Amino acid sequence: MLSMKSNIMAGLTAVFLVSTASVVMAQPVTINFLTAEAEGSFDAAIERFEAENPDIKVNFETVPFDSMVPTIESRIGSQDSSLDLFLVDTPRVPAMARNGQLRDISDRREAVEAVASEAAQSVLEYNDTLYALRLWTSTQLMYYNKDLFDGAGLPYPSSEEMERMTYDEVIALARQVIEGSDAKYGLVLEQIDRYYQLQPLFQGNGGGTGLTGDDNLTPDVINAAWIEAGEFYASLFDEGLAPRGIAPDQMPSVFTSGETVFYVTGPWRLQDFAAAEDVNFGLAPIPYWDGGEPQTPTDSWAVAISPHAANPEAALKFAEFITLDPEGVGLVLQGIPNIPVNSEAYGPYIDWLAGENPEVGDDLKKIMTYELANTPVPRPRSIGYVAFETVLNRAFSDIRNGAAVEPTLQQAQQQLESQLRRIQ
Amino acid sequence: MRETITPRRALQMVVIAAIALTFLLPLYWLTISALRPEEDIFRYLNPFGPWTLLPNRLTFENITELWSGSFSRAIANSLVVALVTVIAGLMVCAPAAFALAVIDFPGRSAIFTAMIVSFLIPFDAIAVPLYSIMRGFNLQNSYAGLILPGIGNGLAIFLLRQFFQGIPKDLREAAMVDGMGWFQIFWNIYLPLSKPALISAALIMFIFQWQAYLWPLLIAPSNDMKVAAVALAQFSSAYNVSFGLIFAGAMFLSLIPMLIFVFFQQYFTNSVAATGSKE
Amino acid sequence: MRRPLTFVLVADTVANFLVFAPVNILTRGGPQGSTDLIMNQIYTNAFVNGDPGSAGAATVVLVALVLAIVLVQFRLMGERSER
Repeated sequence: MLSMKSNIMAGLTAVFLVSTASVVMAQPVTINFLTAEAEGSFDAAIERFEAENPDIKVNFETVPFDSMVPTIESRIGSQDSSLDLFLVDTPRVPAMARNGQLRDISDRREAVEAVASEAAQSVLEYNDTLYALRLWTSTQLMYYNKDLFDGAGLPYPSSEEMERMTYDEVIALARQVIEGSDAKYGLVLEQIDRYYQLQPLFQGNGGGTGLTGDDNLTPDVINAAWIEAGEFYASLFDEGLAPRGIAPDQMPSVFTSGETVFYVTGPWRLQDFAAAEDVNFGLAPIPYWDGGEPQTPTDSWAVAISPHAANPEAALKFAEFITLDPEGVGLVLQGIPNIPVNSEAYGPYIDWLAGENPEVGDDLKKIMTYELANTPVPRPRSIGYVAFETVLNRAFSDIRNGAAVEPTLQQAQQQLESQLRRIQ
Repeated sequence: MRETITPRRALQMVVIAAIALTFLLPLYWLTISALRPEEDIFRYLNPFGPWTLLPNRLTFENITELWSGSFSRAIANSLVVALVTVIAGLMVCAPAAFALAVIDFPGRSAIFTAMIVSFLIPFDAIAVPLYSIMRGFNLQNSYAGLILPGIGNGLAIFLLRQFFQGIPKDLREAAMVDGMGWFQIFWNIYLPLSKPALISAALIMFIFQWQAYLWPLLIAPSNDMKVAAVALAQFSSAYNVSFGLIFAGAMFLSLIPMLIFVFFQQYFTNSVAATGSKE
Repeated sequence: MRRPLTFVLVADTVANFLVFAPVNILTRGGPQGSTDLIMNQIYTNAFVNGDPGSAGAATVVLVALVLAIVLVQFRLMGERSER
């Protein structure tokens, strides 16, 4: 009880001090910035921003990754004015915009279009209104274990776009390597039961995103192409080419321990993999379906402003600094080396990233630059995306654990129909 | 009188011991994972073999790294929150339970029912509106904001009420004849007889705060005010999950309540004898 | 032992109806919904799918159900003050 009393006293003192001070000088505002990033990762950008804007203080708040969505839902749901800006996963933007959880920033459209392509920005719009600023994008690479290829006496896969392998070729090659070495797994997709990672496997087979209709509110996950892709996905686990029972978070250990031939994940694992003692790796483009188009996952976090923000102007200023201003973009990359969407920042970024990883640098630059320009497929834009992803991720996880493909997708289709009808 | 151990009895004991050991297995796995180099933690899970349970490399790296960061501050915050909640909570819950158990006042059963309902409602359901209220009082990032929701604990009141009802009526009737007031009866008769129940109630409140997650996440997001459960989850950020630190942190998070429990266990074994009640 | 037993019975019933963390952490309700619990659905609707309305409705149903069970338990245990 003591602490409560002292808090009330402190509060009263603060109110008194602030009200007297405001007479003398303009009072600095504090904006609260919520992320799921590691403590300190935005420090460099915040420091510079505060130096350039002495009247604004940025308070960096971080929550655990899994709690990001619940935290934002609760705080915006309770009209919390102490939350000014936050990071949002791009496919959530339409639903949040519709629920009134994001501030309209359409008047900043021109500034945005000057640095990012219209297509890149369109994912952050809903009903022709702009709701967020893109911070990063993402892509996927196929890492392979060089030692295992050496052990099997096979040549390394090519990093050339023209020699991109199909899924069937990758599996055939992985089997050869497993036979000739002590490899355990053939092809592991890191985010094994998440739509982000699996979209190219399903959509790339020609079956669509899984959502159709004018507003992307009609599920379509039981067409022949989806079922075929589902059977292939199930076979990875049935035949022991990928492990069951390991969560995406724990997956990197199956590659760093040197027991996996091919491992698909983003460039954000480069550093960890380079530091791992038991693996030497090379890079190749991710596989595609024979007869289909190569596709890669894309998108990442964007910055949005709360409709209840106490200081929306100051928040917007900071959001623009870290997304549109090349200086701010560069400083953010120092803390979190994700791929910038800002076209001016990409060149220096990729050269720096290639330099940091000299053993695979050339391949890295070649593959990433090609994929980002030619193969990205954004997740479907729909106010029902969140429900769609939740249901599908569960279905993926069931298939992975051995459930029959067709009935599982049928069930997902039914659940989606009823849930999306509720949203319409 | 010495008990003779028959073969049947011996077999029973072995089976019981084996079952008890299976309950300890997760705890054991938690501990060895905390002491393993991070890359070994999941390495030997599949297929299940001797190295799954026997660490071949041991390190204190995780533990030293854990304590060099902000985790120690978070543990301190959790201890402050849990201990203040226990003290303040007993001051509120024990008199409330006494009134519900002993004093016959109008509306007693309505209040009792409302109190039962209070712990039927999942805390997650009231977290958002409660957050709005607390924010109105400017209690964000304060100990008061963390502690207040834990003080009026319906479950603890219920537990104490059940216990107080078991204390024989004769005792308080005799005290009233001697001219004692309600407060004196509560303080001089009921409390001294209720040590085990008070300790149980204290543990309920301690655990409530110790494992609280959603509420501290909302009310105390600043780095200085983070509680241990949130700090533990924080080791998994968007692009990196430090399982070594998670296991090491989880080990200490389980160890602290366990030590407290073991310390108070002696009172539980006495409790049945101490009530003096035949009911 | 009747009164402590009432407490254990009621507290255990309530705790197990409201249990949710193990499901959320370990299985997310799978495989094929076989380990899904009402609390997990409520949490998912409220905090993940952004549908607090349906979460609120499900909470009311849950509380009513548990309350009914707890009242029966009180009757069976012969709680005096409920009369």
